[in-house]
Amino acid sequence: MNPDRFAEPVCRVENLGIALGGDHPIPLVEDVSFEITRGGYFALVGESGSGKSITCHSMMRLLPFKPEFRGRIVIDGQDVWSLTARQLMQFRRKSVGMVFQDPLAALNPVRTIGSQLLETLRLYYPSARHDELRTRAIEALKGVHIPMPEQRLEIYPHQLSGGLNQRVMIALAMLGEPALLIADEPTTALDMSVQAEVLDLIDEMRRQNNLTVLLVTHDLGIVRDRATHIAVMHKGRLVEQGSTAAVVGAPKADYSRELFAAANVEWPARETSALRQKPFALSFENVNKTFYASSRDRKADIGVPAAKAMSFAVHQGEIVALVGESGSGKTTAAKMAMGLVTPDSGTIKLHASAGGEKSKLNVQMVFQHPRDSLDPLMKVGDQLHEVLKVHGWRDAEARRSHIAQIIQDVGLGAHVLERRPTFLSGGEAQRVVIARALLLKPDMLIADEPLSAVDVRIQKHILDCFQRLRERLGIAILLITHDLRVVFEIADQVVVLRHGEVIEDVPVSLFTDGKRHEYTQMLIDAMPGKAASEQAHDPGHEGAVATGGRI
Amino acid sequence: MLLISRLLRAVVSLWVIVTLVFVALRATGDPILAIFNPDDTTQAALDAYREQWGYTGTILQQYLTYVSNVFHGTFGISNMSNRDALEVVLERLPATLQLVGCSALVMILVGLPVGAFAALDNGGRLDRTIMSLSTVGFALPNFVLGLALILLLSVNLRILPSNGYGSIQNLIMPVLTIGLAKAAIFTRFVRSAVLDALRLTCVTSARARGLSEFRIFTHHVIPNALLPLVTITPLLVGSMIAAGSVVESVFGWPGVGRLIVDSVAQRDLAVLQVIIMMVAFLMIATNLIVDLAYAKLDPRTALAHSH
Repeated sequence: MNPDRFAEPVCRVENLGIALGGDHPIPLVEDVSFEITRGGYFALVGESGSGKSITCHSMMRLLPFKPEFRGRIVIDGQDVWSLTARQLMQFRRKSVGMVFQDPLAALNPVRTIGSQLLETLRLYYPSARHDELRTRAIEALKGVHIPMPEQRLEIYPHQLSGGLNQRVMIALAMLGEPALLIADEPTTALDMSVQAEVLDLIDEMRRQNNLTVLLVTHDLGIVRDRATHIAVMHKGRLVEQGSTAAVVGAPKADYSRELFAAANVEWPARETSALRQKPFALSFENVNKTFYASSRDRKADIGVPAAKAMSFAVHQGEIVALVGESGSGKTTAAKMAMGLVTPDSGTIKLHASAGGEKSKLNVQMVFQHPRDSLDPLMKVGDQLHEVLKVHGWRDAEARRSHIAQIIQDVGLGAHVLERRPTFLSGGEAQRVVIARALLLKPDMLIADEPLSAVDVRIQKHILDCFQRLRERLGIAILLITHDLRVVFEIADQVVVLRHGEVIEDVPVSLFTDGKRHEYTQMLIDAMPGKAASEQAHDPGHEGAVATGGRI
Repeated sequence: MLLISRLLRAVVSLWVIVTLVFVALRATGDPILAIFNPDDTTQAALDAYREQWGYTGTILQQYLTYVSNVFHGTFGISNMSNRDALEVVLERLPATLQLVGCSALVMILVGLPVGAFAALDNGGRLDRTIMSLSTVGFALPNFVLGLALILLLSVNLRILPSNGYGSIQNLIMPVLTIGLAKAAIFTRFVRSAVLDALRLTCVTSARARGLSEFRIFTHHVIPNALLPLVTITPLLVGSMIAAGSVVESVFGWPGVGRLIVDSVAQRDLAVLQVIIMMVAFLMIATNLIVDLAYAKLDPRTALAHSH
């Protein structure tokens, strides 16, 4: 199974323990041990707060606080935590490169790409002339396939797309020809179609330079396709590690089993035509909306189209997924449906309910970041009461029983009512927001990326919650997402947007029949984890040695 | 393009200020009755005065006369000294500019390094000491520090003159009084700006590339920390003119600040009007410079305006 069992390890972490110092140290990472051999592709997987980022930052001693450190980290033959300041600087220059989650934040916004490349190159070639360094910088950009590298030297990070910035970041990390590349969620901030390109680039770097990669991610799809070895972290501990095939094929720990089960993509074959016969809940007809940066741009008609002749419909009791990359106009569509943004032309109609007792359907919205849409200083219960009070519920007892019922509907315990939002987990917070939207018995929910801030396992819970609500209350849901896995899991109808245009409007069962628009096809192909679900995936044999927890 | 639109905006601001001064002075009552006591002045004299200063006709006519006077540089006569009000103010201006300029220099030279050291030692002993001193510094009224300095340096040590204008020795104490008081506030802004910049991912990323701490500080922390400071500095410098009115009185400094106090006491409206417009003009001009500096320092805003 593992011919390189005796290969030399590039990175060895022994019984790593990190605690937030103080009178009562708070343990963040405990008893973590793993090894990565030269050329390996090691993935550290876990939810947010599992300690994976702290682990990888501690490998370069980049923690933002003074920790209590236990154990040993040896990278490229150097015991990282016993290096002097000067040695540490040399170690960071030569042994390890790091790529961060948000490339725009990781590059200095007030300095040009070129100046940041030159500054780093200067470390390796202290006596080189300026034009020599410039040539090297251009070569570095060419190495990561950035078109027109000469021009890019003069511009600022905000003038490049996220994908190109991440390429610049990779180029910067690779300048010192490090033995190990640590990539901390390198694609989380990027669009789906760009994610694959960046991951391909990291693969290419690994092949060309005999590089060892440590990828930290919460996205199991990425891991399955590319990593040679996987370690799963949960609550600061490694719960499982081994070769990709072993871990994905037969996860041993309960937690990883649950994690992988939640991330499994199943090609949907639901029968949804009956729902299409139901009366309309919401319809867009030829809706146009263009945003202009300034009044001058408006006159010159140079704007960003967020909706171009957009037409689609949501029927009652139907779950419609609005899919697209950032900038495709999906959030604008949601805001127009809520009446928060006025369209330039076209009609958006909220239809009357079947019984006809109301002239319009009641619509509620669930926002992307649950914590931001809750008042941090107010108890959850009070926030829910507030909504009802505003809408004329005078009787406190009636309010209380109604809230208890809804809280139960979304699968939460009554104890959350007594808490403030800061003491809720991400999943609980999102369900509280959904509960708040349900209080007024809406006929339709608009959910804008409701799952992007929560982890795979909790995503499953929330999707189940949506499913139940639809079945029990017959609510129509317009679900805005960039994640096709969510679509396959729950949607009845899929609307794909690009640059404000509807380029696909099909039942989910037809979505993967291979006859779709090339853009849709590209999105499907770019979906991480797709390969694994289509055919048994053969992971690479080179790489890490599983040490089974302790050394 | 940016420059032209900003200049236009500055002109509009200036016009608004000129109009507000007109409204304020007319709204507080008949300006003639504010100068003369009607009981011991003849009606004929009052009418003659009205005629002379354009206080006749409808309010619109008066406004037009006033605006045309202002744009011709005619601001009226100071009734304290019976000289042209503009001249009275202008002769005080150099003293004030000297005071404010030197104080601003002290504020920046003290505030920048002290604030940066506090940020680098976040939560440490040095940081706590600096922050306590800063709290004392801005809680203390301006004149208290001035009086303490006089007591120490003039009365007890007899090093510096307590009063007067003209030499470097005279300048030291008022400049320290204003400069240190503002430095106490500025230090806090510097500290939080540097702390924010230190937490940026790009600083972590620079560290991960193995840049030296010194280089990280000079090339990554400072450029980012400067942005909020550029916005706040002119506001603090502007508030020095206000602080000057007290401090100039304490040290007998013949600047605009003291002139404000005197002309309010004497109801010298012509002089007040000139001072208000001049301060407004100075503030608008500094804001213009700051906007332009900001566009240079932060490429993101420069782009937003040039497209």
